Amino acid sequence: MSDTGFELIGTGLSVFLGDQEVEGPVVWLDTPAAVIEFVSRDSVADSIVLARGGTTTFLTPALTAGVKGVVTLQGHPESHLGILSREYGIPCVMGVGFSAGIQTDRGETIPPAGAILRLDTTESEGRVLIEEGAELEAAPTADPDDAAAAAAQQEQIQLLLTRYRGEIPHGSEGDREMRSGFKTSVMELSRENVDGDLGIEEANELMEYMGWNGWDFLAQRATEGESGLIPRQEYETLGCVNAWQRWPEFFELITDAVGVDGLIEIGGTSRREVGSKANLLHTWCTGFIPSFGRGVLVDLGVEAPEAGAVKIRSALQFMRRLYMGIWDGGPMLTSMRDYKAPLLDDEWITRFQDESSGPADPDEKTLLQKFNATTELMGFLLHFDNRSGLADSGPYPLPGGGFMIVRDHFLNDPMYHWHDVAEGLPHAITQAMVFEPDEEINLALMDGATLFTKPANYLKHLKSMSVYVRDTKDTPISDLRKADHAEMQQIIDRCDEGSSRLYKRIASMPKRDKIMAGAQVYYAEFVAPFARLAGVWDQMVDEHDFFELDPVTSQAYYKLIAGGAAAEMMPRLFLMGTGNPPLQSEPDVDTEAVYPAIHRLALRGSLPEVEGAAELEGAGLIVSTPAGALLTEQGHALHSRLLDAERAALDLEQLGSIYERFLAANSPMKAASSRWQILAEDDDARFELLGELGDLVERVQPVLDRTAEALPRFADHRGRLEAAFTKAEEGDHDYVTAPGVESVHTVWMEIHEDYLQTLGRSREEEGSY
Amino acid sequence: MAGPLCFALSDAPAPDRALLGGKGAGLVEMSGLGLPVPPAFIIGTPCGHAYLAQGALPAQLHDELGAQLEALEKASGLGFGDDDRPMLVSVRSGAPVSMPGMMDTVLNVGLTERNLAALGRDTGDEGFAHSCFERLLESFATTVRGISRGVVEEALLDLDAGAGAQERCAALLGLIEAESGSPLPDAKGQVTEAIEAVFRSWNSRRAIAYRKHKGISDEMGTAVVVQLMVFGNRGSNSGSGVAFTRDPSTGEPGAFGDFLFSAQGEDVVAGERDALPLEVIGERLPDLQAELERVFALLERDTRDLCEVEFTIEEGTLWVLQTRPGQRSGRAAVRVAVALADDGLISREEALERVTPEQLEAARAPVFGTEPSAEAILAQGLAASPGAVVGEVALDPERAVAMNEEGRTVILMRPTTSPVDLPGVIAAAGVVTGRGGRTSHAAVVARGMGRPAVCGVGDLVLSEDRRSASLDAVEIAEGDLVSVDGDRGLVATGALPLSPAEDDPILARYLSWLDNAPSKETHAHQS
Repeated sequence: MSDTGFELIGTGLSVFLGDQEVEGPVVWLDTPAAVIEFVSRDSVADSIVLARGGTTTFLTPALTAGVKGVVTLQGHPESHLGILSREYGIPCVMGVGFSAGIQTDRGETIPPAGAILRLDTTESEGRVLIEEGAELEAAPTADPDDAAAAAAQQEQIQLLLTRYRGEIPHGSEGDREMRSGFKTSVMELSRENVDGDLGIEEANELMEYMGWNGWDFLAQRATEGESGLIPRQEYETLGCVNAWQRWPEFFELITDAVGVDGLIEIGGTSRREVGSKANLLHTWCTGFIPSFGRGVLVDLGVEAPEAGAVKIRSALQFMRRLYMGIWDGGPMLTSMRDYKAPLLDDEWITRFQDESSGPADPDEKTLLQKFNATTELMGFLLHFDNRSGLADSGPYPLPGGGFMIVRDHFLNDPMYHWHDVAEGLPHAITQAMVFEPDEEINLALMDGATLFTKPANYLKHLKSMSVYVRDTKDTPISDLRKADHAEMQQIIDRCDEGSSRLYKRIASMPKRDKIMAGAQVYYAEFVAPFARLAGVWDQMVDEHDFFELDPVTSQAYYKLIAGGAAAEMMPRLFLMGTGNPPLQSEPDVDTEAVYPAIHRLALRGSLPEVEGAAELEGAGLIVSTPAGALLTEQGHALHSRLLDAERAALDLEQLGSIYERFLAANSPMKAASSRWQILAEDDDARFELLGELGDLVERVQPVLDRTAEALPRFADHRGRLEAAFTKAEEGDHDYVTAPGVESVHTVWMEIHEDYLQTLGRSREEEGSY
Repeated sequence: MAGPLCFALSDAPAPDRALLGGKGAGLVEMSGLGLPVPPAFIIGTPCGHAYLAQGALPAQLHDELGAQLEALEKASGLGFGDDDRPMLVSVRSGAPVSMPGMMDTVLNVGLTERNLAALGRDTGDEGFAHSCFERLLESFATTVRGISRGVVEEALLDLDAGAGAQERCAALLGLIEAESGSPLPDAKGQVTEAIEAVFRSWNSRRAIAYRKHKGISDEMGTAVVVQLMVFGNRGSNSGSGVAFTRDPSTGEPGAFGDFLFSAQGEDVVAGERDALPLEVIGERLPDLQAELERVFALLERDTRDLCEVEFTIEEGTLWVLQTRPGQRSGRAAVRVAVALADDGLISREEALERVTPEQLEAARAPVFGTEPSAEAILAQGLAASPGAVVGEVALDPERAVAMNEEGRTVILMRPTTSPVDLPGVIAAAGVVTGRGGRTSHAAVVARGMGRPAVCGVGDLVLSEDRRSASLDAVEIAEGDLVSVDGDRGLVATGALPLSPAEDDPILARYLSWLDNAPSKETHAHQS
């Protein structure tokens, strides 16, 4: 293939196979400013651009302007840039290492500016050649030891990209291997198993699968390198952390508002509607985003894996309920369904097929391709390089042969202030695309609602297409309307103008603004559509400060961003599948039977004697020390799960108002206890105080009785309080305040603590110490 | 009946306990000394005898009551039962000797549904007015009308969730009428019924038991004190405090105590708001600072002892509510006794009697010899439990237990304490808490276990792993060596040198007096 006049200087991966080579002068784009300057030149369409990383948004203006070819030093064809260059039909070679050229300020070897390059993408190994006569230096030869180490590391990474943890492959075979040892049916949905709480074993199997599933979908992307425009790993990790901190509360709010059935109904939106963000990708993210946020905090050492045991299970169950609506039962993820997601009801497909028309001439074909690529690029940029601007469903097999892919592009969402650049654009446009390929095409619709194909250039088989507009997010689906070519051209023009404006704006933003804006997309994007449908979105924003950061997120910010942890962590967690740390398994005890004993321990911290101590110790829940029995970490974890379950079944508001009456007696009790100690030698005062204590014990009896109606253990509290007071009254004065015995003060404190724990209140917020 | 039944403070006969009761005589004494006592009058013991004998208050009382209340109105510029400027009074029992088991106090007498709003307006706090009313209604229901505490609680528990003081007041008003047959009376009726309730409580089960136990005659009878209520929360020039005429931890001269602007006395005692030192009064109200100092001096000269004073400032006027001999640490007992003897207020023999054996023993425990330098002070809080100890910081109860098992001396530092911290307190040699006052659970427990403790040092924020913390701007890590001075309420960095208490020249002098005391029977000297 190598012609005279050109020499090979580097190889990489062809994003799609082309039938001809392209040539042009190379332009090195390493900053957004360089990109902006470049697109104002006259020579744009003739140029081959060279960039570091494989993300889309950095090269947006160059892609929109229509360059001749793209070369990157890092990255992979599955990346956003890969997808986009395919849609635009721009030849692209990614992950190229150059053997000769000039040195950048970071020591990378690249071809000299203006030298004529030739891209050969006829094979999957893409080749980059340079005209003879260009002034080249050989790339510095690395220290052989370093080179060997780097090669070994590269080999290791390649293995990890090919096989999950070096073992499990991609695709349906990987799916089967992952599930082969599973004991629960968590991956299969049924109306029954989305109803209650998710068990620990179920959550662990699901998270184990999610590690592989995320890798299967995104591992390649995790290595795509830096964006140049947006600090992507930084805002992704930060957004996930904030989602983990805050979403579970919102999930609860949504579920309370519509119930489980209502949630399933909302999940089913993607069967009934196009142009809605309540879709497959967003559903996937309701579980994957917070789970990854948890993984990030655990990896940072900010949170223990058990700390969020209840939260993670409820978040995952929330996701499962939405999936129940999508599939109406059965396998949950597309990886379990041969990577096919023909979600839309048949009526839609019939209508789309009836209304689609083929490109009559090459001009029309160019328009369709340009429309697809431009709206896609705009969607990426508007969502800060997040793929949530795009959602595919299908393939839908068609009666006359061939298949349909239905694709939504989201172009305007009032939730983001920078969408002002999208003024005049509809909320969503929908492309119904009919393909009749004359070659075997392997289609994979990933859980992130993105279509991957082999061979990659599927668009050349486009037979016909129709385009629909959903004007606003609130436009009823019955008002979905078909767009004609004139409107499509108008949308293309607005997208070009909008993306050019937004690119310049983002380029001028300080790093922190970029991170916060990107994190806002990750945080708001996947919960808002469901909250809107449940009718609680405004409440979340107005009453729950939706757009605020959780304090833990702020704490994590500095470690992730200033400390540089995000960039190091992101590929590692994805590649190694360690982003979803498992929960400790349920101990082998009758949890209901041991709850009273461990609850008392949780109230008291330690007790000299515990009922069933041997069994509890055997199960690793308690440990005996000279200070008495203490709960272990597992013991605390089990206790907090059981306590949460108990709380869920209680009317906390009513209990809270009963507790107010206890609290009314609490200050006098503490004051009396203090005076008792201080007035140790004053018999009269102590007689008086015993009377006061007696009054207080009597006063709270109806309060404890009332509490015992909902929580029987408060009857025991009452009994122990009376017994303590009786002993004190009989003259054993240790039974007033002594800490070592079951004194009035000891029991009172325990009762107070029981109220606080059961109500989930802290002493700080209550101001009682 | 010959002679008056009621006595205003100014025209009462010399402090006659048999006639005026202990509390009444005390007020007369304070007033005679020139202390600013809120205007009050006392209904003497003969009236109580008459009431118990006849089952009704003597007619004469009603006339006198009117005149006495009018005098209080005149002194206060308020009107009893007035809707716009309501005067409120407290009604207290007062037997000639301390008499546990009797009805203690009804506060806020004179408050009605009609003048509630005026109190809210004057204190700028409608919630406060309602909680005053709720308190009156609770006392009135249980101690005056004799409705059982359980019935009252049941009625309050029946309220809807989220009910506030206003709803509770409505419920209590309904309950009083339903259970006792007549509604809450007007101001005059309230005070009359409260007086009767005090007299009746002379024959309460507990009071009878106490008299029997103590061999006190059932004939003695009780007096009643009716006193103008003053409010420390009537605006920014008001407040409440508890003061000692000398430092009760160390005995050093100079007044010492807690004060809160815009607060009632119980807010200070309850320790749930962080109180401020007395010096803050002078910053805002310099005249009152001087007035307080005059009061303290008067009291010490009169009692020849360290005194504890409860006071309230209402709209810039100082009122002394109660005084008593101040509780003090062992060290303070020795120092005060020596100081008073040096000033010639008491003799050396009296000085020796002023210190109990327990106090002397405590005074001889090792102390931090020198006050730490300002840089060394890590935190300052309330002296919640006395004693001095040096140890290593633990920020988590489980870590405290583990470190103790390794044989290390542990200081447990916690933002707040709950029962869960108890194993940590047991394992620790000293305790420091971020929030909470002298009556907090932590303080009660630490005192109960004899652990030095400092409470309320500020916002202690723990790191996630509970191995380090920040206290305001100071960073603290597990294992840091600190010194806890539970007498001074100080936490210092590093190990302050402990020195034998006898190094203190004042204690040394006291011990030399003790050795030279002519009578070896001095109760403090048992060795």
